[in-house]
Amino acid sequence: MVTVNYDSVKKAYGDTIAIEDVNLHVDDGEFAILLGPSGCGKTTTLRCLAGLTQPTDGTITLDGHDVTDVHPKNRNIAMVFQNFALYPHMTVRENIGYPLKVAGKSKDEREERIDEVAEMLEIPELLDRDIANLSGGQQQRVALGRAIIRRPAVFLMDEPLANLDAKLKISMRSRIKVLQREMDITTMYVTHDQEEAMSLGDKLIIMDKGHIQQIGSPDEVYHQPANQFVAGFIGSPSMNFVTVRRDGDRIRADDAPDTFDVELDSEVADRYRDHETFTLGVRPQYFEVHTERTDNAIEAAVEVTEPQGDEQIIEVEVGDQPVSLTVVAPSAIDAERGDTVWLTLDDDLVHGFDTDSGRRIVGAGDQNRGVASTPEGEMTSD
Amino acid sequence: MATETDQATAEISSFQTDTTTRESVLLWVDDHLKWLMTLPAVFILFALTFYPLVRAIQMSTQQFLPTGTTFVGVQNYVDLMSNDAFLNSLAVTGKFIGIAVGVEFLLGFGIALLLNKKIKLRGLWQTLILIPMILSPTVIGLIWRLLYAPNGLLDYIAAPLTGGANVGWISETSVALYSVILTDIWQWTPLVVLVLFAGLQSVPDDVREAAIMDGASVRQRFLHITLPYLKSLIVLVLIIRLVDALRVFAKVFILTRGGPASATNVISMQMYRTAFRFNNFGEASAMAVSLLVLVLILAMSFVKIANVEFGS
Repeated sequence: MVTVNYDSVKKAYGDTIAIEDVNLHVDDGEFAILLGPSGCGKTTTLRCLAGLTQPTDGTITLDGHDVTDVHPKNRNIAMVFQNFALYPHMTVRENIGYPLKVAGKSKDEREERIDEVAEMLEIPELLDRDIANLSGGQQQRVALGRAIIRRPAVFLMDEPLANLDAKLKISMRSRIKVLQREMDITTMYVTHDQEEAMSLGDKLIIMDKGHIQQIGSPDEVYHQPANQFVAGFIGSPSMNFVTVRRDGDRIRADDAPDTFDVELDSEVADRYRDHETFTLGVRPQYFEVHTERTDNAIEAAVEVTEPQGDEQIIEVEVGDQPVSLTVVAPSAIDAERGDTVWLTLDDDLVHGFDTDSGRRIVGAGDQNRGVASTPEGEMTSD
Repeated sequence: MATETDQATAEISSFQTDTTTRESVLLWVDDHLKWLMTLPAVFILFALTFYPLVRAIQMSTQQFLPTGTTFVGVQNYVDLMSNDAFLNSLAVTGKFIGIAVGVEFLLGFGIALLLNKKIKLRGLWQTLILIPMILSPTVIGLIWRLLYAPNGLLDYIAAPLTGGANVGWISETSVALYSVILTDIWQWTPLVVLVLFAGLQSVPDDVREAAIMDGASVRQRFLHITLPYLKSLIVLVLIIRLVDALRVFAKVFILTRGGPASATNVISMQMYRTAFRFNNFGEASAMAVSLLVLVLILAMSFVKIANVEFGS
């Protein structure tokens, strides 16, 4: 049983605050992902657990033991670095076996474990090679091997796939997931790639500007984003945001009140009864595109179409002072630059955000498609 | 109209012939540019390195007499073997190198490690430390001669230990060599600092941190991570210092002229005396060639032992 707990952790460099008010909990065997744009503090958060960065304030506990001031080498935590950080003057075998060597394990025991790990990572034939002669993917596996060989209490990974090409990234991703499941080791993983995060994590910790924005399962952060930042960060293409004014069940875009004028389902509109203006958030997938005039639809001019195979991404503009929207439509829809199309909203799946605070307006009947609510989902204030 | 065209054609064809010759010249230059560009350097290399070397080898086989030179084969080398002054100078040089380079290396490594910590005013320290290296050995010799002068600054500083008596820094047989060595250490430790500090800076942070996470102790990290990163630089700086220390001349010449009583009579000093005081250019050349061979053997065995590849 190894659980990780951050309690009000803060790290400041002089007047610059890297992370603040970080509270989080990772369960035993859980795969937790720290996700956010560059500079959001996710790596700092990870390094505080590793012990490579000393928090300015707050405590970090491993299994209830306060490790905030414990030396990194005594925390029994293994880490995989973005640039692999292999020892260039050692062979693959020596690299993987290094944690056991410094722990004073006998040569026989070391060799046995090295072979075992190499088997797991499918690299037995590389063991006697020099690091310099390995490809990026092979180096990545050696780095993983070095991390897992001593069966650490916690596994930390700092953007371990960032330096691999797209195809390798996907195969290594599933390998890491399988490995983590098999070894059942509590893991914290840093990435800026939301797709990677969604596919790997049990729990996503989304950070921005040094603060945790939301903690939840991949489904939760996608379908019930805590705020506009999370909504915009998760999902590809990004969610569309339009400032709208509500008049009964009707909403009109501030910048294009004549064209962007739709009537919401009264149950949906009721969620926003306390807000006269708010920011409407609609994922590109939740527009329906019509090539003929349709009731309760937004008239839009096609700017760009990007075919993606089965579907296409269409950039449209609405109104004279144009509101730009991104829409995902089936490729069967015949639209070209300059065409006029009509968009209808999937009412149930729109979100409203408080224009000032950015927080999602949650109301009765707040639906999301096909997702069972997860009880552990917690939200923190920012 | 017709003439105009003819004229134009003629112009074109003359232009073409022109281009062809010019082009062929340019092409030739282009093809051989690398040789042309290296020519001055090759010339200087030959004039300043190969010629003196060949000339020294040639001179080492001759005996120089007021009446002229005669070829004596390896006699000069044979004579060296039984030349007490030369053998003594070898011993003095060996002692000089052993102590000077040893202390420079250890001290320099220590300072480099200190600089590599996040100390305050690091840039200032770095700059200050480099100053001795920039000065010419002659200037350094002169500065230290003043310091070593009887009743000079060093005598003043040492007064509490010596009870006010002058130490005789460069006039006392048992002290003089150490005084010269101290001067050399003062001048060349900065080079070791510079090279090894650069090496320490080249150890990537994440590799250092990976070793911490792998559970390595400070000592293990130094031995397993830092030292291997520095290995080739250590060999490099030791070879540079070794070769340079073998050739030490200006400092000795200015401080002691090899004295007192041959106490600081390093090889280069002995060579200088043999050649210019006793006009025995043949034997001096034989010393120079022996020294060269010695340096080559030392440097190569060093690289071999340390198993370092440069430029890979």
